[in-house]
Amino acid sequence: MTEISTNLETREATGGRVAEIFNEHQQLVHRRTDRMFAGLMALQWLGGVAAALWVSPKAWAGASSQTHPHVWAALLLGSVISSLPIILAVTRPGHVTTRYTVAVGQMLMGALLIHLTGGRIETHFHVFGSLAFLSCYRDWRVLIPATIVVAADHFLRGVFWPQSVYGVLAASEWRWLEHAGWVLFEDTVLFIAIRHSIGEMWGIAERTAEIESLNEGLEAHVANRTAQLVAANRELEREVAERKLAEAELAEQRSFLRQVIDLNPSFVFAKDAEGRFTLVNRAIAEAYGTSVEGLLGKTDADFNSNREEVEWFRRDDLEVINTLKEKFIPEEVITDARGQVRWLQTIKRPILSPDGTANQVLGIATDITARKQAERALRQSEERFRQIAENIREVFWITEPRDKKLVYISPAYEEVWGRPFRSLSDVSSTWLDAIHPDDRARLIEAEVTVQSGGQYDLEYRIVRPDGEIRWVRDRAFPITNVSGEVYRVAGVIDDVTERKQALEQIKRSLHEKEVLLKEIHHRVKNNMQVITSLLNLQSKTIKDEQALSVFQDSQNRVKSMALIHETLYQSEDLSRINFAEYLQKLVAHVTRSYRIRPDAVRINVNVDDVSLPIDTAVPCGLIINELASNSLKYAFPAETQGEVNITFARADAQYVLRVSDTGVGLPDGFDPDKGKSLGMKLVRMLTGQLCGRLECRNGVGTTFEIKFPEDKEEVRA
Amino acid sequence: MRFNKGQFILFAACAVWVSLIALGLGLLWAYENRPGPSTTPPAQWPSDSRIDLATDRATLVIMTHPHCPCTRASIGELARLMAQAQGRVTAYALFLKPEGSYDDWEKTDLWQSAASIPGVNVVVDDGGAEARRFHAMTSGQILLYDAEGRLLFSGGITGSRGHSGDNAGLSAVVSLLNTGEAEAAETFAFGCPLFDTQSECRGSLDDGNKH
Repeated sequence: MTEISTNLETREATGGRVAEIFNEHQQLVHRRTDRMFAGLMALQWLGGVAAALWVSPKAWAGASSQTHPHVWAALLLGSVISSLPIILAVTRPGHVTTRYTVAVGQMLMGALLIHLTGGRIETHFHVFGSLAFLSCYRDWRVLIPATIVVAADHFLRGVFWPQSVYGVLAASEWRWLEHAGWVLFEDTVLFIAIRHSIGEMWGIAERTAEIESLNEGLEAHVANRTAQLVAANRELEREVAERKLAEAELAEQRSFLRQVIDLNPSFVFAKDAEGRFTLVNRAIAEAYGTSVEGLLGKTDADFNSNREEVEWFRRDDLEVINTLKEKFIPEEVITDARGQVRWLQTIKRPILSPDGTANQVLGIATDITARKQAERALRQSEERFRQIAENIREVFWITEPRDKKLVYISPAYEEVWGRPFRSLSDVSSTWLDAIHPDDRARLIEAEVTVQSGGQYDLEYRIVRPDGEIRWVRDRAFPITNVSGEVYRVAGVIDDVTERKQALEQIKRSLHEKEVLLKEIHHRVKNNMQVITSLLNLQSKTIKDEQALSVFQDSQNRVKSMALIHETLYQSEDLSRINFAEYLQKLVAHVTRSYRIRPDAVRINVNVDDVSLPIDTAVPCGLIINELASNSLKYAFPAETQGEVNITFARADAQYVLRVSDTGVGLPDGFDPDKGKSLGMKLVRMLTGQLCGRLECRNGVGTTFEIKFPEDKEEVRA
Repeated sequence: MRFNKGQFILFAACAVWVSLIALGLGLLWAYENRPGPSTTPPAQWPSDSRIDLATDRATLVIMTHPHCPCTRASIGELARLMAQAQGRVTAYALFLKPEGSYDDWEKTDLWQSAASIPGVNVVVDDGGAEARRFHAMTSGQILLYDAEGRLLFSGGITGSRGHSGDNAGLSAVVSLLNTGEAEAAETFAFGCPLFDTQSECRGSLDDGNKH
């Protein structure tokens, strides 16, 4: 019963699909038959033309002939009849109008062929053959227009031209019904065949639909099972992936924890009740001179040679396990694999089981050896600092500016300040009071500077309780924390009273000597001025020009030296002379003494900014005086115009003095090394004093060049 | 009811198609039912004819253009006629041979068909002289004379051009031969003109009428 019900349901479900398949099949048949008729009608048309050409190619009239009208009829009318069915069969295959048009056209083509063959009874078989072909549509309705065309043809021709269709002259007016009856007879046969064929098509459609339905059910079942398997597989894959992910995460966490405890410089360990390590990190393993794997499962006794330490560790471990209480061990020692004692700060905690008992102890021991060493070093350092600070005469002090608190001051404070040391706060409160009132402002300003990160080196006065004033030198510098902030200021104060007094004495002595030296230079200059004046007075009684010239030269020579002393006592530096300043004065004097008009001979002075010692400046001044005087007197006769150039430069650790003119030049054969004049002798002699070398060039004018070292003493040595 | 564009085009195409077919079939029908030129044959057997008149029976003469495809139906009907006449007629098939035509121009399949009909004598009509004597102008035209040389029937023995089957001409001839009477003594002849110009035919006709 269930099976029958299922079949019925399947049939109902497949009913629509059966009709769909049938329609598809029928449409396929219609299209295929349309295409068949398209070809068939084209062949018919060609066959009709061929038949016309064969049977009645020409119409004759005597000996002349022309194309027979049947040929044109076959060609033109046949093409017209065939055209529309062929076009529709090609462009609209499967449409009902197409096959109706094909049916009509096929029957009309039969009529044409019957005409072309002269009404041969054999050609009438075309009608029945065409009906058989039309049955290929498996659509009995196409037989209707075909039959109507045949009936109409016979009816009309039976009425108007009976012998053309019936072959008798006096056919009955109902004779067309006989012919139509035979056509209907064939129609009936074809109708039955078409019905059978349609039935078979429906059967095929039903079977196809059933097969499809079964296939779809089977496919759906397979798809359902496949989907279930895929889902299960995905779930399995997801679980596997999650498990892998969890394992990876666990491994990652283990690795991470392993790295954490290995990176920890403290000793991380766990031991069981028997003292065997169950967890260790790299630090403790390295301390014991082994690896992590090598330490696991072993005890302290396996690596530590100090039995006392081992027992101590063991006792603490058992205490923690038994009491279930955490134990903090501020300091303990362990002897490592190299035999070195390391200080540890350890905390031990029991590892509790679910039942509340403990059979393992977890410990973390921080190596405080460095801290212990630092503390010891600090103590030693403090001791050394204390020894230094308490035994030197300088006063060390440290303040915290934020709290305006004196942190430290060395015992030398009592000696320098002349005050007893009661407390740091006492010192701090009386600090500014002890500063000389005139120096307090400077000190306060300096303290602001050092609190801002600067330093100061300041000398100021303090006033002792007995009224004695002492000079101190206070050098302070900031102390910054890790963030760069000044949190302390330290300083050193030195009692400089004696040194200050000695310096004042030296300054006074130096000033006295400078005054004296200036006075000497003044006196020398005045004496030379007196000599010059005497020579001048004396020269006024001399009539001889040569003697007068000698007097004038001597005056100029004395004047050149007097200018040295004048420049010296007017300058700040009494040992060196600004040579450029001196040379300007010298050239001005020489020009005036020889009454040289500026528009006749121009004297150009080009001197580097150099300062010369007096033992160099005097010879240089005399040399320039001699050479310039020589040029002014002899180089420009008859008041001709020209230039005298004086340059003094320093290059390559030596000085170059050059005096040149654009005058008439030296006489032919003049040798500066052998010149007999006093001037040339002085020049050679003074050049020798300077350890220099004299060169003379005679061309367009005369050029004297003297080069001498900066440090004559070095050359002489 | 409204037609869309496609349906309208289809309808118009069908209308044009049917119209063209109707026109073509109409022209074809008109051609097939248009008889050849008719003339009045000599009422008495022409004396100058070279064909001998049978004295003991009727004599039938059929004018044949050897190349006329329409005459093939007439030859076929002649065969039926001869079968039905049962020796009561002597038949002559005059095969036109125009002047200047090549040898055996007239020896076509029609010649063979006619020659194969019992009781039919196939005669060459050189230049159409005999046709002119009988005033015949259309291939397939039948002339039936009795033993005394009197014209009994003149016309075609096909219902239309080249169309086989029962027709008035055949029935009349058969009736005349069998009963001596017929409903019609003259029918239209359907076939090719024996002469290619109307003037030639007219001249011949005039000559025939003179006889």
